[in-house]
Amino acid sequence: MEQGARFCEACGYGVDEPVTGEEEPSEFQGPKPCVSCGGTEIDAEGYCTDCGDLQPRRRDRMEVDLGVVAGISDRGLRHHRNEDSMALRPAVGLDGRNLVVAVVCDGVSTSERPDEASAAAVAAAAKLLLTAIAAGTPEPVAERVPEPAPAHVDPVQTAVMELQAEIETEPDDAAEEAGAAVVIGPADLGLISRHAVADADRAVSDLARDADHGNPPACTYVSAIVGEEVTVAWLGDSRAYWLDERGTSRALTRDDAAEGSHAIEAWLGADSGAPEPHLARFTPDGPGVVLVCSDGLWNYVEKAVDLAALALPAALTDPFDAAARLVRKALDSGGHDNITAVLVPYPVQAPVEGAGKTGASQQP
Amino acid sequence: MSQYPDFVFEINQNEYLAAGQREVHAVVTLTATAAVGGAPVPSAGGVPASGKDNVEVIIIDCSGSMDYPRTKMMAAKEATKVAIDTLSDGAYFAVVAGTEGARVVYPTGGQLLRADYQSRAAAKEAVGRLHANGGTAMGRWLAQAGRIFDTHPHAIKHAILLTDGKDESETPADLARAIQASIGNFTADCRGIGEDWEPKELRKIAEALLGTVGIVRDPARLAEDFREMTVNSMGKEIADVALRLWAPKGATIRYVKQVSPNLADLSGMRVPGDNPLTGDYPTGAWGAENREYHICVEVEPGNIGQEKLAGRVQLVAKDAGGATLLGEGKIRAVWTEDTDLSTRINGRVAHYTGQAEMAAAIQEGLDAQASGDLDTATARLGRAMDLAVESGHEDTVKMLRRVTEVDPATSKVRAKAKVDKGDVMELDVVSTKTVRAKRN
Repeated sequence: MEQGARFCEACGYGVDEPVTGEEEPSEFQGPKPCVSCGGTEIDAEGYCTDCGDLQPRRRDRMEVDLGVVAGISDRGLRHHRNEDSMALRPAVGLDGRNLVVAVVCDGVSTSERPDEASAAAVAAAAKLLLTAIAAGTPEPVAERVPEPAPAHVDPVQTAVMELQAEIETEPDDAAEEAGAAVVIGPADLGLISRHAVADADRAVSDLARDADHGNPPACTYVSAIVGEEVTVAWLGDSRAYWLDERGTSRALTRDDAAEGSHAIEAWLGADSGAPEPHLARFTPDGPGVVLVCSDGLWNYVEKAVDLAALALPAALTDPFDAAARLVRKALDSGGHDNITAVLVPYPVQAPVEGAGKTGASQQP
Repeated sequence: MSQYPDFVFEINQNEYLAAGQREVHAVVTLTATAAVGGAPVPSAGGVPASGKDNVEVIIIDCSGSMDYPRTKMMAAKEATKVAIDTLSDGAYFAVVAGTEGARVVYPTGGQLLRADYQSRAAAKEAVGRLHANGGTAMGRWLAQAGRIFDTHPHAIKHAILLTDGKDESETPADLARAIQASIGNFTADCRGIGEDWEPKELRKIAEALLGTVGIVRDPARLAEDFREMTVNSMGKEIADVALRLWAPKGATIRYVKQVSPNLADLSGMRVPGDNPLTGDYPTGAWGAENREYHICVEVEPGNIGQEKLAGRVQLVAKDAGGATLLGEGKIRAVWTEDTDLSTRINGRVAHYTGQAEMAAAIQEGLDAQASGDLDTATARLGRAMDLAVESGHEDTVKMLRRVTEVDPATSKVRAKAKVDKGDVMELDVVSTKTVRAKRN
């Protein structure tokens, strides 16, 4: 399928295209006046030609509200740019089930061009996930992933499960080669999560240049595919949480970092060593919300129960409003790092027509 | 039109400012490499193959004192002949005898001639007939040079000015007016011979005309000095280059200074641009060379996290066709709460801030020493010594030692009560020479 060739009737975005909040604003908005002095001329580099103030970059505050999923990524108060990225969007599987894909990556500040790293990673990963969900997985899949134990009997807060499945070719290619003999079934979400990480790793590695002085672009990774169950994949210290009002809120990820340390032990990029992501599956036993976030949020509010108290019950019906509350909390607490929060209400709803809105806020 | 040199344009600064901080500092480093490959090649008819025109005017002080001692006048004639021989073939030139007036001794026909065997011989003969008799009015000398240069408005115009005395045949206002009229028309290197001239006076001329000041303590060295100045002048490839500075509305440009190879404050030479936020600071003619400029802009402080463009610096060549952009860069300001970032001092900015402080300390120390205020002299010259040692400015350290001594009681440097006048003048002259910042 050609990118951008087909558009979702509900929200108007191309069916394969994840939404990041970094998209070009629509043309009719016209050039905006300077946010500081109202000057009307902004130069090619984004500086006001009157007062010299650099205009907020799209990346400084990215907001996406798709109704069934919403996210905000904010520069914070102490960093001069936003090195986090997010990509999200609802999708419909081959079997007609409603799914939501959410990916958050946090550029490693000590690497070169970390903002480009995270942007490349979320775009590559989300695109693969959406394409694979739409196309399905050929059957029989080598060793289907066993169904996870029901969440409510899992005594551990984080459920980690390494998948064994190996598929050499892309699902689409396999289907084409095998012709009509192969039945296409619903996408294997664990498997495509791993493929997404591999694609993201390649995309970030491709950014490396000779001049990077041994610090090629790098970023963390966390993705969630939310359907009946929640499939999470991650590397580094970006996290996913399950939040509910029944006292069973929990972290769904476990950081690749020593306790209390921000020195992450796994990442994406040219010097990542092609890492295998951690995978986890979880089936909620009632309504709640999946939070996918960067450490700029959980540095201030780390406990799942505290995050739940902030986000719920608003997140169930208005995930954008709840995401704004979470980000506001981090900003009010100091905003030391970039902050990204994506919320997916559960159970996942069918995409709502006309609910989509996205863009960079001029006044965070 | 000749080809311009290639310029490498570099800005060094720490863009991070603490909350409320207004002053933004940056050092602009400009390196020009010759585009035409060295000295112009002579061609048929004595016209330089490079297509550029140089005009050199050599102004020799012919006041009566030049004969006391006679070696001064002899050395001046000899040095002028060396300079004439050093001119590139095809360069236009003139020799002016400076007294209370300014007489063009070569060429006598009113029209400039290109340097060739014949014109050089005629000029040297005229120089040989120079004699010392009269006063000193440097303003008139500059005005005469200006009239000569006006006949070749688009050439690379340079003057060498040699004097042995003070500007006593006119008022300081006369001189100031003449300097003002010369700014942007031509550049000039100034030399003082003997011990009766005033370093501050000559520095005023040289700074405004973007040249150097030198002291000639040994007349035998003058010829070599003239040769070097002429080589340097002939090596210029482009006549009129300016730093064009845009600063935001509400900003104050604290200063624009050349800081390497020598200090020269360009702040007062601003020529307003098309836009009220833009102005041009002349940098004169350029050959293959390296210069650095320290720019300080005061801006309205922004919020934490805000970035402001505190200045946009462009290097432009002004020519018959208007202006050609040779390079550009940004001076940025980013306000941060991160004190690790905001307290970092850019090495280059720190270095040249130190060099400027050293020059001021030397000049203030010498003034205090001259007026008998030895406490102030000791404090200022001591500070200058620290800065000179710290920056590895060996010439200055050597010269500071001649006007200071070590107090045996405190083992600290103190100003000498009695000093050699030549030593004081030499230190004064050398005070504005800087050592280059090491690569970061």
